[in-house]
Amino acid sequence: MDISIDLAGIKLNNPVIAAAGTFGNSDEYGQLVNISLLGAVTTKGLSIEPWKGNPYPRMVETVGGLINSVGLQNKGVKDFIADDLPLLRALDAKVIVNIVGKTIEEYAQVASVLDNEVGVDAVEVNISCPNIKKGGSSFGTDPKIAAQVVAAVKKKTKKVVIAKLTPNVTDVSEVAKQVELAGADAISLINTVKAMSVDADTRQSKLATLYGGLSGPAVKPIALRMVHEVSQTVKVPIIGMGGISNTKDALEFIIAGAQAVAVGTATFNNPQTMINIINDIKDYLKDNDLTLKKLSGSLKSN
Amino acid sequence: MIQAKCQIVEKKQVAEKIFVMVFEHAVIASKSKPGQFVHINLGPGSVLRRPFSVYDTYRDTFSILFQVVGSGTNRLATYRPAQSLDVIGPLGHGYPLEGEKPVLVGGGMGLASLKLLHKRFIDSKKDDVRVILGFSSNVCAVEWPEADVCTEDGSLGKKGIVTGLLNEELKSGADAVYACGPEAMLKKVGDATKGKKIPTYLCLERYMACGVGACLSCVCETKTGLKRVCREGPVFKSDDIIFNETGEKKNSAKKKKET
Ligand SMILES: Cc1cc2nc3c(=O)[nH]c(=O)nc-3n(C[C@H](O)[C@H](O)[C@H](O)COP(=O)(O)OP(=O)(O)OC[C@H]3O[C@@H](n4cnc5c(N)ncnc54)[C@H](O)[C@@H]3O)c2cc1C
Ligand SMILES: Cc1cc2nc3c(=O)[nH]c(=O)nc-3n(C[C@H](O)[C@H](O)[C@H](O)COP(=O)(O)O)c2cc1C
Ligand code: FES
Repeated sequence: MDISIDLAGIKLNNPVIAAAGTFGNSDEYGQLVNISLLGAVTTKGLSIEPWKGNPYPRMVETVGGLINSVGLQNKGVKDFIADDLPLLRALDAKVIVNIVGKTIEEYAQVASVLDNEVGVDAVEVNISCPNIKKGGSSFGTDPKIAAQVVAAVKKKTKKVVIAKLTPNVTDVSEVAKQVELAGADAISLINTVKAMSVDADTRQSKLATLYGGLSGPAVKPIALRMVHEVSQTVKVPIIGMGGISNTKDALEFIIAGAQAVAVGTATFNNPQTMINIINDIKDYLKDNDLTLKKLSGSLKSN
Repeated sequence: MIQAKCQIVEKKQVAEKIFVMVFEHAVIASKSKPGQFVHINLGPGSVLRRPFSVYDTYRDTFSILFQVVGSGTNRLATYRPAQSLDVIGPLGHGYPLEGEKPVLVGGGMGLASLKLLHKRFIDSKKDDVRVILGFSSNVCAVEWPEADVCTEDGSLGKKGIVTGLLNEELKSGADAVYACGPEAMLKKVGDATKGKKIPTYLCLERYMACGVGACLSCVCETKTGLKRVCREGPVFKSDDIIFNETGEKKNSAKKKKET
């Protein structure tokens, strides 16, 4: 059964994507997962120069999820191109490069470095990064600044540009509308939800930083609502994510309005999650005599 | 590394809150090297796996030795023989075998990563291998007849900490040191051999999510930058590690909970 999709001009064999920061940069999971079977893989957020990230501890498990404060540690886009991209090309994987910056210019620089690289299918602009010129508040929380980042990236690349939205805003549709106007070819959401965990014995945050980002099943209902809201506002395709752990979860996002889905935290629990979803979606569509196109956004009113 | 359903074939309680669990899997058993670990899925509804050293291997089986310290290990302790768990392993880089008179130093559950190492040294006729185990009190009834034991409160073996016994071994010609345990202990072991040209390997513990090098949650600082404990470690050369406060802070928090 054909479950390939056209995502803003990129042909994916299936709609299931590895989420940024949870699948390494190339073949970290290669011994456990047949990477060429995935719809696409998204890299860790890459910056123009290497970033050190936050101090340890950077991860804490909570009920139904985990909070991370990895802080976008990465080797920099140039080392990625030298070390990882050749491996990804050899695997024949569709590749989305997640890009980060501390200023709008830095995002544009990363996009421009990637523009001529064969094997990069899209750049995903992670606008959840702290904006150092604005005292560290995230680019993505101000619709106008979010749009400026996307426009700056768009100017520097012919690749498909995906804007990745943060859920830590009052009105996610407004941000979606602005990034679409700025030229985003697709939208992915949600990034992690700002959160905290306290150790009552030490009376300290369990993370070295005070706050981190929550992901996993606990955020799924919020993510679904946001995907639905955004799908009512924009025309560009949506990659839905946030707590997807099985085929049912993935189908819910597609019904709510997503064209594709991404899986992050669930891969840590079971690296086969994405492969299982790909296989089961086929069965579901066959059994219900449906296609992905028909299913996407097919939420019925109550 | 592989991912496989592994059947529990035996479960033994060896002390209060401490269990040995034996799993059947020929590939994981035969591929596991001393110091490597397995990453275990705790079953439906769990979010993160939990990492445990490969304690021992025998024919088609491998075992872990674990202490119940929180919700995950509590859940693990509820599983019984004939049930199966999803295991990824073996993971990480283990201990290289070096020296004619090696000393193995274990603090608390850190001993779990040293048993197989001891066995390999004996297999390669290094009968002079010494084992020093330290505990905060008499909690651990793990049968290891060759080991010199010390406890902080003197309730079992000698009263004191492992570095006292380690220094004696170093005086009498020990030529390689292997240690696993709380970070404060590892730091002291590293200090004891500093500048002595005695290869010293330390096995670190970190909270882990992926276990394969993908998520960057398990980093430690080294002289050549941040390293992933799950992938480049968990065993590192002592000279390479830069110990910082967070490791110690976390350990003291853990100790408070145990006592
Ligand atoms: C490579 C490696 C090998 C290990 N081998 C063994 C082993 O052979 N036997 C054994 O008993 N334990 C071992 N551990 C530690 C074991 O993984 C933790 O005790 C376990 O994950 C705790 O889970 P929990 O949900 O019960 O505890 P939690 O509720 O998460 O925590 C309880 C306490 O344990 C501490 N803790 C939790 N996870 C870790 C961790 N990953 N590393 C260090 N401290 C932690 C916390 O600080 C807390 O004080 C190993 C850890 C690593 C990284
Ligand atoms: C450890 C970790 C690292 C992440 N790193 C990034 C990143 O570099 N860039 C990014 O846009 N999102 C990052 N994310 C967010 C995920 O891509 C995803 O949006 C989020 O985790 C929700 O999906 P999930 O619940 O399936 O994990 C990270 C998430 C986790 C758990
Ligand atoms: S646990 Fe994910 S990189 Fe080590």
